[in-house]
Amino acid sequence: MGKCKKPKEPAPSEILASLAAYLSFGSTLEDDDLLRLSLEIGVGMMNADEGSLLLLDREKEELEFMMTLGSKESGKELKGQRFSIHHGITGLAASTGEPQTGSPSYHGIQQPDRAEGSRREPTAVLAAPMLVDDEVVGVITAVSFQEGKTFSSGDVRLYCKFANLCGNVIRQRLREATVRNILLGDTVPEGAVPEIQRVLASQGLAPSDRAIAEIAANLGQLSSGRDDVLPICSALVNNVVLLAKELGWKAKS
Amino acid sequence: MVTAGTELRIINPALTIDWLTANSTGKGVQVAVIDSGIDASHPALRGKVKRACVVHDNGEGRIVCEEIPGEESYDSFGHGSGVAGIISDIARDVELVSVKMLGENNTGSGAALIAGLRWALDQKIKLINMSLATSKKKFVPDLMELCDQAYVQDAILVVSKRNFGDLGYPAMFSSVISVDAEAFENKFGITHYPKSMIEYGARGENVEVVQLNGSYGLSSGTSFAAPHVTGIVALLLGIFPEIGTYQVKSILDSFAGCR
Repeated sequence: MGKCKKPKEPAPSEILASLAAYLSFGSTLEDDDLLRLSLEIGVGMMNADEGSLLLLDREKEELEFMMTLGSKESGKELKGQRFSIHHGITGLAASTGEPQTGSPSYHGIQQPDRAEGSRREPTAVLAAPMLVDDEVVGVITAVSFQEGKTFSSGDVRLYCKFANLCGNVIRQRLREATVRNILLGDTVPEGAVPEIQRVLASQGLAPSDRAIAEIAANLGQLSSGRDDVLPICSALVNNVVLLAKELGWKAKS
Repeated sequence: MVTAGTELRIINPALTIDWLTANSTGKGVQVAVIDSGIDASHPALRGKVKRACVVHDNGEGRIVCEEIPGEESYDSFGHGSGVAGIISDIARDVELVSVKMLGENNTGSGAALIAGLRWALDQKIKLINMSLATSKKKFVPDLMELCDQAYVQDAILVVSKRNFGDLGYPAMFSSVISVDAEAFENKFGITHYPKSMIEYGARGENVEVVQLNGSYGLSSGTSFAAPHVTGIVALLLGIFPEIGTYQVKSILDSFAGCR
């Protein structure tokens, strides 16, 4: 029986680079805070009354309200609600990956008495897709109830930038989840973020490397949102790496 | 001989938008709308949808376009109906062909877009509106081949650029008529961008559009700019049914600037 070729282990420098990258993922702001802040600024700049952030469940082809701004009542009503991506302006934005804007319906083009004077009928809606690696992960919306309000092409372009920002925050979260999956499961999940795949996909981690990586992962989580703790965590990781080297990692590499 | 500074005028100066609208209604011209479908029951579109096809996954991993009667044509989002409404508002006697590739399970993808376009070309439909684009490079070879095929068989593709980010495909291909949105009041307004990959601009801001359930609304974006150009091309085809993309572009260039 032929001898199995031992898979090439990642060089220590690669592991250190990925650990350093992982630690640098640690944001000084919680994701939700950053998303909310982005949405608040975006909705404010659109001069809109309400806004929301919805995540796409690709398997079920549904969107779920994760965050709402504006009216507290509608926020309570909407959060957690799901609807098919095959309907409405928001669904269209999720289906096409293109921003969509429009007004709700009215029944005669000569008599555009849309909204029928009701405060709760929006006069204009803007939906911008959040993209991660060209795939839609969700949509942010801006809604206005102001009479005669429409969103211009300039508004659409600007709001898309906020959608990009939110998409990047979500991308960061996916990167962290991917790294954690790799560390715990030693497999690269399908659809993993490309640069993570490049760094960690080719070989399995040696036990000592895995232990170090898990320590780093936990420290990264602890330090997320804690600016003051980050330097201590970094120092701790360096100590662990030094210790590991002393205990034989050097010989192995 | 053409010398520097000489203006080439190959278009009859009498061929103007005013003349065109007075002399053509797009009668006899079939226009495929590759989109979310067309609501054939909407008052503005009743009797105008002559054929329809729905792109869907056949359950065996193949994306196919299945024909249904035109009067049964439906729309999931209202987007395609909005596009069709603009075309038939400009060219009131066109025959609409709905190619529904958005709003069904597993559709809306580049693969569905390609399947819909392939079907329209197989049916030899002369004028095709695609207010859709993809930015995914993996679809580019197939899409480019089909757009080239369209050019060769004298089918005219009018497509919108993406609203944000890159221009998108097929808008970046020279074989199509690509359109951006402008804030024109005039539905016949056209801008020509001679040195841009996106060659034309048309009305795309706060456009009155057909929506679902017999209603209307206002919408903005490149999606609603492209059908303005498609409508004008339908008027041209109503009078000159044999012209192809090259001639149409020359004529549109001569119309450009009218706001």
